[in-house]
Amino acid sequence: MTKRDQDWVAATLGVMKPLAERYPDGWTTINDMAAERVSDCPSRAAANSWPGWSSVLAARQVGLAALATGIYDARDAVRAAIRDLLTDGDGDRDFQRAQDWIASLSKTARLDVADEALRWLVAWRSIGPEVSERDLVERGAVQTRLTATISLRASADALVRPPRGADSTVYVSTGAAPNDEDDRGIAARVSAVLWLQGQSVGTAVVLHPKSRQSRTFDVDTELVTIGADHYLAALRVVVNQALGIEQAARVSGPNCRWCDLLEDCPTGQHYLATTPQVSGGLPIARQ
Amino acid sequence: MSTIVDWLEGLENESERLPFDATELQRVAADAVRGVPPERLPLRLAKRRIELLNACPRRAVAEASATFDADNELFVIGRLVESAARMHLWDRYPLGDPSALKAALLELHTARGEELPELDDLVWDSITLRADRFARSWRHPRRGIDVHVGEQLVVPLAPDANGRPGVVLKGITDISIGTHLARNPHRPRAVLELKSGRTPWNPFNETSWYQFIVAAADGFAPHRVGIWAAVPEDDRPTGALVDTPVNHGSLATATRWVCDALLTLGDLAAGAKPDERPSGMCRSCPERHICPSAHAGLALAHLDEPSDASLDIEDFDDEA
Repeated sequence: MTKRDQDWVAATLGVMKPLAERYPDGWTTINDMAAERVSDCPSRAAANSWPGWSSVLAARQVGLAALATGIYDARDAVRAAIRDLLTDGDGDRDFQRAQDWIASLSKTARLDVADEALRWLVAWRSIGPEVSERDLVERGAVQTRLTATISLRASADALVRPPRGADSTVYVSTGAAPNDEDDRGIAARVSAVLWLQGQSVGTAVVLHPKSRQSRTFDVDTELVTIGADHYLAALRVVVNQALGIEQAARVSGPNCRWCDLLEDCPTGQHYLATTPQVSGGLPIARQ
Repeated sequence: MSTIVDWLEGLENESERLPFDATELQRVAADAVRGVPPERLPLRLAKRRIELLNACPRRAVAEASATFDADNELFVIGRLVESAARMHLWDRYPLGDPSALKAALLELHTARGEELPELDDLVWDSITLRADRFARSWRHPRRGIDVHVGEQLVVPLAPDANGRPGVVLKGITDISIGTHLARNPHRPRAVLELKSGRTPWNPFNETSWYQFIVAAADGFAPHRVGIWAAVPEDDRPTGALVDTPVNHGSLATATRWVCDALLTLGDLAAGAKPDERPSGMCRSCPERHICPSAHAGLALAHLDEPSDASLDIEDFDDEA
């Protein structure tokens, strides 16, 4: 018997779908970043903004493609992955943005992406499981559709499916330092999306290649409920803001320093102006 | 041994890596965070801050507030030489062609949306000389052993009740040769630090950090840690290579060096007044005009003259 609970799936969709159907602005995706941010600052989550293509994001796509090549030499694997990626005509919108971005670079300028992908690949291999091409998650994300136009999306690297009838294991890597609470949130969100999508995942592993650490979580209804609650909260602020029912609350905190909304956010500006700044433990004197 | 290729000879046949005993580090990290207000955590340490904390805590505090001048010419030269070295590792370095190198480096900067400071032709010649020396020292791209640049290593320590680390150590290697594999940790592993200027007057400060951070992250010390320097002021066509020992003693000393800095950082984060330790470094300290002890350092002969050999992208990591 698999762990995925049909009753939980039905009940969760029963709450999410009616809300999603009220969204007035057409197509959108609630990504795991929005779902993660909503408890820190609903307004930031409501912006649900895609951070744009950087070499780091594109490199993850290249790194995953390099893993899929099965080529032992990491440098050759990255070369092959970039070649394959640029000729793959079957990508979704986000993937095409990565393709377009890399294609627009000269061969020399692609070295930044190649270096970053090489770092990602070597780090992933340092602690990740041995995987075959079929285990890797295409485009590095899983998603499930709530309505014709609203999807939930979560990052994932690999989904290892055992023989028929057993639960899968999902692997997701992060560049952040290990943090039990955050790792649990990551595992909860990706597992919730997979359960809602129809995959029975029994184990979620959060990889921290830079520190060679990993955290393994048993997936059960308690964990996926945490993940679904994150998405539900983000969906609610996105829908309510789009409908004009309420302006998502602005909550200040350390993330204000890097927030895209800071320029137009008095709450964040006030926080930064009145909160002592610290750099790795040492106070920073205001200039 | 004069070239990188000579230095790497036989790496594939190295025996087991030395295991790292993290007991002291963990104990010191737990001590360091005790008494630090939660809003000041995590304590973060990287190479530059460790050097400063051990040399002069007041300067370490001053540099936390200082803004770094990214247009500093020595720093720019260092970055460009590193970029050229990366091109060579991808077999794309135009050896002996300064104009092609300049065009390629400008292309990289443009793609990043960065502007390259104006540099005159003499500086470009100097960059080409240094980068050519690296290419000659490295020779051909290696096969069968991973080589990558900018490997990031993170060591979280002293977690709180929710698993949030109270201390984060972070290192970025210039070039990592061979890689760690949790399943097979005794594979070849070496770290090479690049210097666009002279070899450091005390290479141990440089290499001890890398042997420490690799050991603490992997659980095993690297087989080799070396420094390659372009030494543009002399006529060696392949630059200079300094190998440093990696053994139980060097690892213990490196760990002590990091632990000393960590304890000082903990005290400062808890509100202690920073000590002033005047030295030749006072000449480049941002607080040399207001520090009451600076006169003693400023009066010293130029023993610790800062040079491009001491400027490194890792030192200006935002998170450090």
